[in-house]
Amino acid sequence: MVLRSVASRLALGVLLGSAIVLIVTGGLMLSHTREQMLEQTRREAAAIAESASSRIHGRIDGVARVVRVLAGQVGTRHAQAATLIRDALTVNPEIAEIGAAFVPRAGQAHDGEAPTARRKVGGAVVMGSHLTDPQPYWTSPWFIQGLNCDEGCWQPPERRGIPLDAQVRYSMAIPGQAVPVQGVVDATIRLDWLQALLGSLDKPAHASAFVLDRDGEFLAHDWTSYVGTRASRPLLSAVTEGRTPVRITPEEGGRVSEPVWVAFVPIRGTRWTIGLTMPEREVLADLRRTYLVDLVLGMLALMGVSLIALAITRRLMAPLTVLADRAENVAQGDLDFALPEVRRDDEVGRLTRAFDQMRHQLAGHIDTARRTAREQERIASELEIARQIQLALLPAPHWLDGDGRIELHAALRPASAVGGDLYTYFALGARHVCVMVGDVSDKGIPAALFMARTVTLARTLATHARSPSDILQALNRELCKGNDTCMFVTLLCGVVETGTGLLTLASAGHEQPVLRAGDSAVLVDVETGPALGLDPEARYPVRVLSLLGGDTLLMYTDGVSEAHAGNQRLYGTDALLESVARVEDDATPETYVERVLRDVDNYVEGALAYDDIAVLAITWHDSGTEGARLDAVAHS
Amino acid sequence: MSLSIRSESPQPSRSTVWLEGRLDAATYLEFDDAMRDVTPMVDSGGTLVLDLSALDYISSAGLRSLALLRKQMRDRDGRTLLLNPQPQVKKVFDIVKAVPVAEVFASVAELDQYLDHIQRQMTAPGG
Repeated sequence: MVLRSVASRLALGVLLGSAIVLIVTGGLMLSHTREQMLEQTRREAAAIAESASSRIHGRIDGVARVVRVLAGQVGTRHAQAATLIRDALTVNPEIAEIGAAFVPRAGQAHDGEAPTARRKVGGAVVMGSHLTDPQPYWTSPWFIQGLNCDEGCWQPPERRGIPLDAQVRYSMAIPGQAVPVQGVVDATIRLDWLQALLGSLDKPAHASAFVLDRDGEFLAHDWTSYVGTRASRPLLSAVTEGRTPVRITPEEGGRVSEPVWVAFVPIRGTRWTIGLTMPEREVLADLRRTYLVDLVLGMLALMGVSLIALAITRRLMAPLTVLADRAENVAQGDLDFALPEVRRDDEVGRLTRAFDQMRHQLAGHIDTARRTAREQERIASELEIARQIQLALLPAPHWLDGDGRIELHAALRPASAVGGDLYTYFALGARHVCVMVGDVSDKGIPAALFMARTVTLARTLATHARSPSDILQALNRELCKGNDTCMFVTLLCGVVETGTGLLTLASAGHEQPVLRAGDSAVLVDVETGPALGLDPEARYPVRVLSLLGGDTLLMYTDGVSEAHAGNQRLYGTDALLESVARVEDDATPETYVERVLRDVDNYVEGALAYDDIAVLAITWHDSGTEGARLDAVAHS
Repeated sequence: MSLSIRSESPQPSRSTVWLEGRLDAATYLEFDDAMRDVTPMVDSGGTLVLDLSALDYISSAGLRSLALLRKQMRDRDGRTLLLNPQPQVKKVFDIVKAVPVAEVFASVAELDQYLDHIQRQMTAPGG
């Protein structure tokens, strides 16, 4: 597709736009030039016609003068009429025949009353008389009309057979002494000279000339077949109205085969009109030719301009083409390519440089992103290891003591890879078991580290203690050391005497545990001390209760009681109690843990866990012991 | 839900910060940042009052922020007093005891009374 390139589109646009401008201005110029050419043609034609008119006038004026002189002479020298006309004919070669005819006296014409002198073909002058005319001359129309021509006038042409042999007669009345007129002098000229004159006119090759008489008949015409015929109506009306030049078309009834322009002028001293006919095609042929040449030249020039535009644009756009290709490379992720060396300071230069910079920056960003991704991968793998280490800090989720009296089950579900919730249990001496569930204030790695510290410390410190209160106090003191970040852990610590099921509880700001005894589930109200790690002087009261066979104590973190999804209400202890109460009798601690976790999962409907979760259930199996439940609170 | 924090320090000895929304693992950093700007305005030995009447929820992470703030103030001989927590927040304070119960007040009057008492103790000869 050629037109996909900006350069070719620009070149084509330039070509089309200029062509439109050229055609429009050319059309206007053509119309203007046409007017000018027509005007020039008219002036030219008028000049030719004028000059022809003067020549004709000069010739016929001579004839008229001869006739006038003769009329005056024969008026007084009646008897010498024949001599006079013969002499006049002899010295005026343009005249074909001269006659003098007198009004017959007493109705009878005499010899010598109507002499004529005629030039023969050879040039010799022959005398004759009107008396030999077939019709008595005094009744002929030419004579009667001539009598009325005091000032002389041209008679309609007379044709003898063939039109080209036409003659016209100039008549003038002979003034008399007693009567106003006594006869007519007339001179006849042949019209072939007129025809010859038209032919000799210095007119354009394609033009034809004509002479019209007062009746609208062609006296002479370059197209000889027109001689003696009547001119067309549009031409006659134009002559009558003096509209020159006039355009005459075949459709209007003109006797022409194509549109012509006719210019004409009247011939002085006659009622004739001389005109020039020029075919419009010929008049405008030059113009059309010029216009066509101009158009072709213009088109060539335009094509040249377009080619130059194409070349320049190509040259200017060449770096852009490369840039476009390179941008496609970038889109495909390939940033390693060479850009053309551009020293220009124009937009293309700036674009190229910016593109280069962008490419490098992009490469940098991609590199950074790759490194970040690798880093994240590394962190993720480290976290996974940390998670395994953290889980390794915890004892197995299930434990049954040697006597089978205490069974416990725990679960830990960090919200992220590692978390701050913890559970642990361990034997204290031979007859006690310590269980703990805790929650570090915060999540993630800091919480996990604090948790690790707590669990490790707890095991170490607890070996020398028997009361959860002591354990918590010792642990608290240790955790307060150097705890500038004010991390803290809430911890519920219980110590069960394996032989009796006596349970001692102490809480460091932790959630109250749930006791399932019989069919009911209740919160065990343990008065809490401050969370561990904040106040080194803190004291932790204990709550003592005696477990009966099948009793289960559920310890958990706020990941359970405060579970929620989005803006949902918190799961709450009521729901937890209900969940625990619904567990069937004699269920294992594992069932409790699973049930609670399942109910929490159902509540948040698969939403991502918001907080770490730790749950620990401990069941006291002693069907043989039916002691009363001992419930006591002791303060350390 | 998020946390919005507004503070006012009409006098160098006492600044009040209003908390609204939730102070939890998602917002505590914002709180810590905001407090870094507020605590320097309080003179040594001054009082920072946190008005918690519009605080809907506080998590352990939030408690840690409060504890940290209290510790920082105490390091400069200042006090951090909590005003008018909503019941659920108060309950968390009661359970976790991350801040001393004595520094939580139900009303401004109670708080002022406490401050008066402190001041009298400090100014009383031999007090």
